[in-house]
Formats: sequence, structure tokens, C-alpha cells
Amino acid sequence: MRFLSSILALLLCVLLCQCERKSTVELSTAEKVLIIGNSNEPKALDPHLVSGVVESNILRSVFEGLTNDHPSLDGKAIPGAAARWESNADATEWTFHLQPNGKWSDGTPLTASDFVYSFRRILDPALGANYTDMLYYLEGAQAYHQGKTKDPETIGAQAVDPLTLKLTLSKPTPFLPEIVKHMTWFPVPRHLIEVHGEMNEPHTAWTKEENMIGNGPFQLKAWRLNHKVEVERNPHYWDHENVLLNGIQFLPIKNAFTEARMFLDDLIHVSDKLPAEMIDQMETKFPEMVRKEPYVGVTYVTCNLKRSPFEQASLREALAASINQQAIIDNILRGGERAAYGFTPAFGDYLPPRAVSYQPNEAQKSLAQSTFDQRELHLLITDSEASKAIGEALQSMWQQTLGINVRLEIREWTTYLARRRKGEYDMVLCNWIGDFLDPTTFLDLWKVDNPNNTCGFQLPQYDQLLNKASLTVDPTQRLQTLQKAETELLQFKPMLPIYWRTKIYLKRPEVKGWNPLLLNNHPYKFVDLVPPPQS
Amino acid sequence: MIALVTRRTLQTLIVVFLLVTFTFIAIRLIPGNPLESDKATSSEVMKRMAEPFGFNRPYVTQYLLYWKNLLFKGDLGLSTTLLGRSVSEIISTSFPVSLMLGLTSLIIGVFVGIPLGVIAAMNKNGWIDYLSMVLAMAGICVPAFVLGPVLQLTVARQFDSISAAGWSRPGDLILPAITLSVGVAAYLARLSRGGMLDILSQDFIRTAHAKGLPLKTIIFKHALKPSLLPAITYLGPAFAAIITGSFVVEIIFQVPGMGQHFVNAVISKDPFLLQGLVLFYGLIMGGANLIVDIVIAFLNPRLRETA
Repeated sequence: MRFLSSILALLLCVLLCQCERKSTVELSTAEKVLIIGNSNEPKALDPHLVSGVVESNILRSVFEGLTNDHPSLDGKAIPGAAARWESNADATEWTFHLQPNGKWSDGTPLTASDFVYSFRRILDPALGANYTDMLYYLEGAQAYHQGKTKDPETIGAQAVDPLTLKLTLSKPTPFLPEIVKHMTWFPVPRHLIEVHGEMNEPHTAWTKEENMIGNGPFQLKAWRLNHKVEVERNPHYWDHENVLLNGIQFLPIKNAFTEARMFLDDLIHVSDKLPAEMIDQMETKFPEMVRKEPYVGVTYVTCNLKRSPFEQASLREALAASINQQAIIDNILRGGERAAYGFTPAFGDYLPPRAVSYQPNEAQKSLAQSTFDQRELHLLITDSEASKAIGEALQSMWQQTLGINVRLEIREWTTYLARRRKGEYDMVLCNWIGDFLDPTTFLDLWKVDNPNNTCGFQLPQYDQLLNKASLTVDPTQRLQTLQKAETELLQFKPMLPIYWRTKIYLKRPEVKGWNPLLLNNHPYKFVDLVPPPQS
Repeated sequence: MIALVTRRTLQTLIVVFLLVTFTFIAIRLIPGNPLESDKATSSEVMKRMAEPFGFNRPYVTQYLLYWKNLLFKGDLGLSTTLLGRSVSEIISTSFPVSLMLGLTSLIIGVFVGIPLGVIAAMNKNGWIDYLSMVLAMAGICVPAFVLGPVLQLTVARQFDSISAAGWSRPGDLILPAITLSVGVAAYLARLSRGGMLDILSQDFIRTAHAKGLPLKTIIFKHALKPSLLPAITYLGPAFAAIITGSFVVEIIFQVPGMGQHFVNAVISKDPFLLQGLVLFYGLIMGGANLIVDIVIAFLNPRLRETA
């Protein structure tokens, strides 16, 4: 009976609420609380134990690295936890001067020792972090993480005084201020972590909503499983007076169509994506809300060089030249992607060599030069709709242009990853999103010792050129060397580039200070919500 | 009755034990690794990541440890997809949501489906009967992934207090509850129509008519109770299924319920979460079937004697 009464009361509430005309977006705009679609539930909120974009989106609000992203300029580092920084001439020694009023969100001062502690924690082998190669720039970091030494003092990070952090690198890294924006470089609160467990103990309670603290412009307010993660303004943030929002809600909306319907029903300010099927309709109805922005990512097919017949360069040439990239973009993706003529997307001052294009006649000639016996090949893809559509398009293109039969091996995510990691594939459809704005975030994938290089690609001159670039301080010379390396890579073609990605999503006009950024890492402290003028 | 309850409880426990054992084996046999991520990970790091979950131990040890932790500590283990969260925590936060949504849907389903079936039976082969059964068939045939978006695009646009999706306002319950209840109501309508037609053809109903009893008394006093037996039999498993969440409805309406954990646990090969959910679901299903048996025994004197 009580339950029935509750239901009746609920219905009454609904009817009464009908009188209220303000939408969720209007109300939260007035409260300056941004509501964002965030595609999935975060696996965890420990910056040392996660590697996904979903988690990064939240963590960038709660933590802040030594530097921060500029709200509109790509590749420009602005002060974050560090007020200023300088390096020696060959960019191997860096000194970061922390913000004098930098604090954790519980009011405890943030010191250089916190950073040293954080670097040692993520590199501690016992923690089981899998994104540690981001810190291998630090001298001794790789050796410590791989257990070659047990002394954390050998890591090139030193707290000179509470506000001065000195980093010693293993090689010149002029783009270090770009790298330290990444979540793996975020400081974690020693005084909290060690209350809930050992330094190298994974998954302790320090990231629970009632415990977690950070040093970013916002602090964790609520974390409701599969419902929302909510952050609110951090009053102890060093620059809190200039933070424009009062809070952000991250909604784990898994279904892109549900997200679009929520957007249209005024339930969110910014969506995470927009399904290809809805792009045309939305562009017609709400052109000002559809955003198509370049994104540093590439989609490509990797060939397993350890398996016959992929050791034949002419076959790989033929497969690459028979991919009609533009047709895939125009008919399947429809998000303004660019046909990938190289592997690394063009950004900043870096221009990849033009080495790949759709040339069906050349493809047939290349195939004729090979000794391929026309047996069936296999392409490993995930079970996502986009992967299946691209896989089917490739299958059809290779059949039509080259007469090669390709069978699609559709596997769900974890099986796909396991097979890719173990090199159990003929060809595999892959995506790679850059971690930072430097070509090495793409080119390092093909180094002989990179764990992502599972296809057996090894070209000594490629590794030598990358090593040479890593020792070059002059930015122009360095980029030229990287371009040479990519030319070598693309001549060999262990992979067949398809397209460079874009970020397609919806954004309401009330959201200000949210500009196109190549990494899509919007610094939330600059974002504002301004209600539209009353008509 | 005590014997029935004891027997059914024991049966449920055995079934749940077998279910969990089967799940334990199946989730480990299928290819893939729950700790795999798009960030390429060396096998050394993978081993370290597996340590907190005990995956480096032999399967037999893992199995025995699972039951030991469960029986002696009430510990269902840790999720590998939602790191740092225990399975108990995940169930305890998501089950109330599914229960609320499921019970609301079930109530709507019962209050719409059963009267619809009874009215259809009373107007056998008339237009009301045909209309009711067409509606019921439509309710069975239209899947949630069609009905849900249609409701979002029509109803949610019309009423400001009803959201297209979400779980923050009272109105957020309405559309997912309607979507979930349609199938239940449709089945109940067909079952109660069939049950009622069966009872209406019985001798004791003919006798009641011959005695000149009013139709209302015949239906509500003599026919309704026994005619509901098929519907009640269906309600047991339906209750268990509906209160443990629906993946499709939860994804469409952004409901933080238990159904999506079930599917995600399979997709991401999260062994402890899947085992915990299977255990929980098994217990709920066993409990619901036991309640149905008891209710049926009360409604049907012959079965009561057998019990």
C-alpha cells in the first residue's frame, strides 16, 4: 500500500513539476554547472592506474600537472601547478618553480616532494601501472620500473626545496612542458594515500568520493556508479578566483543516440560524440551546435610481418594503394575526417611525408610483382559498428581492386586486444590517439622495443633516426629527422593508414571558452556558461 | 508447507552453487583477459596487475578461495572493470535502482495486463477481445530498443517534467517503467485471457450461471482466482528478471541499474562481478519461484494438499 502511495505521489510530483518550465540545462547554466557526456563509467580515478580518455576527462578537473593546456592554442603550455620553468641548453635538465600558494583541496600545501613521491609511485613495479612509459623521459625511470634497480633515488626527480622541482632527463626533451600536462605526471597526495594503504598498493580507498582530494580547479563532490561523477569548485586551488564554473557533471552515457536525445532534450551542455547517422540531420537543424574538430588520431591497418605473405613489400603496397580512403570518409564516417597520406597527422610544424594514396592501377601492378598466391587473408576487428563498417568497406575494396578475399574476424574488445598484443592476426584494424602534441607519440609505436609494435616491424635505420631526433635540440632539425624516419616507415609500410580522425560532438552556445583543441583536452578552468540573451 | 519451503530452498542453493561453478569455469575458458587495455602492456606488468585479483594462482586455488571468501567473509571479490570497487558494493548501489524500476514496471504490467486479459476473455471473439489481443501481441513484439527511443522522441518532447533519459528527477522513472512494463502487461493479458477462458468453461461456473448468480460475482468471486494461476506462474521468473535490471532499457534511458553490469561483466570478462551477479540473480530467481509456489499452493487447494 505504501508503495502504491509512493507511485501516486510520484505521478503527482510529475504533474506538478509540469508547471516548472526551466530545463535542466537552463537551471545548471544559471548555477554555472557544466553537464558533459563522458561515454562510459570511469574504471578508477587514480591517475596512476588508468589510461583512458574517459578517466582523463574527469581527472583533468580534479588534478593539475606542472603545466596546463592553453584554452585555445595547441601546443602551448601555460602555468599549472608550476608558476614558471626553465631548462638547460640541451633540454635535459628542467627546473619547475611551483605556485607559492599551491595547495591540495584539503588545504595542505602542495610541494615539490609530492611530485617526487608521485613519480616514484607510478614507476614502482609493485603498483602495476601500465602507462609508465610516459615517464621514461626521466633519467633512471625505465630502469627503476623494469626492476633493474630498486633505488628510487636513481629516478631523475628531485625536490630542491618545497617549491622547486628539478627533473633530469635521459635525453633532450624540448617538449617536456607538453608532456607534463598528461595525467600520468599529475601529483597524488602522499598524506592521503598512506592513510589508506601502502604507497605501491593499487585500488585503495583514497579515491573514494568521501576521501579523494586533488590539486586541480575542482574537487570530487559525488561519484554515483553509472550515474554521474560530479566535481565542484576547489576553494584551495591556487587560481580559484579565475575559475569560471561552479562545478561539472560527467555523465557516463554509453549510447551515442541516447546522448544525442539527451542533448536535444536539454539535459546536457556538451556531448561526447555524435553518431554518423545523425550528422546530416543535426547539421541541417542545429548547425551552430555541431562541432567537427581535428583530433590527433589515426585509424590504420597493421600487417603482421611475421606471417606470410605479409613479408612481401609489394603486397603491402598493393593493399595500401587499393584503399579508397575518401570513400570511407564520405560514405561511412561523414565527420570531416582527412584521408591519411602518412601515419602521423599533420599538426604544428610537422608535416608527414605524402606516401599513401588511392591508386588502384598502381595497386594492381604492385600485386602483380608479388608472389602472393591469392589465398584468403584475415582482418581482425572489434565488434563496434564503426569497425564493422570500415572492415566491410576494406574487404570490398580489396576484393574489387585486387581480387583478394579477406575474411573479417570480429572479436569483442578484450579478445581483440589480447590477440593484437600477442600478434595473433594477419591484419588488424587499429586506432591510435596521441598522448601529447609531438610526432613521437605516433612514431615511437614502431620502435623495435615498443610493446605496441606486435607486428614484427624492425628497421634499424628507423630506430636510428628516432634516436638521432631524440638527441637533437634544434626543433627544426629534429622535426626534419622525424620526417625522414616516417618516410622510411611508410616506404616499408608495416601499416596501411586510412584516415586521420576528427572529434564530432554537440555543444550548446551557452558554453564559452571551449575551443577546438587537437587533443580535445579542454582546460575546464577557462570554460564558462553564459545564458543566451532573452529574446 | 514447511517441507515445500525446505525442499525448494535446498534446490535453490544447489542450483546457485552449480550456476556459480559453471560461470567460474566459463568466464575463464572464453578467450580474452579482463585486465587487457588499449595501452599495450608487457606480460610482466600484466602479472602485477593480476596480483590483487589472484589471477596468477591456479584455477583450483582461485575457485576454493572464492568460496572460502564468500562463505566465511561474505566477500564476493573485486571488480576488474570498476577498479577498487567490491562486487558487493556494485550490487548494493545498483540493485535498489533496478528494484524501484522493476517493481514500478511490474505494478503497471499487472494492473494493465490482467484486467485487459479478463475483459478480453469476457468478450470472447468480440471486437474488444480482438483489440486487446492485437495490443498484447504488439506489446510482445515491439522490443524495448524500439519502444524506448519512440517514447523519448514523442512523450519526452511533450512533457518538460519527463526527461528523455537520466535518473535525477521523479519523472525519470516514467518512460523506462512504461517501456519495461509493456512486455509484462502483454504476456499477462494473454495468460490471464487464456486462464479465464479455461475457467469460464468449467462445470462449476456453469453451475453458478444456472444458480442465477450475477456475472460480477461469478467473475470476481469464482473465476478470477483460479484463472490467474498461469499469470502468477509467469510472474515469478518475470519478477526476478525485471527487478534485476534490463541492459537495453538501462542503456537507452541512462538508468544506473544492475542490468548493464551483467552484460558489461560478460563483455569485459570481469569474473568476480559476473559470478557475484549470477549468484545474486540465482538467489532472487529461486526466492521468486518459491514465493510463486507458495502463492499457487494457497490459490489451488489440490496443490496445497500435494505440497
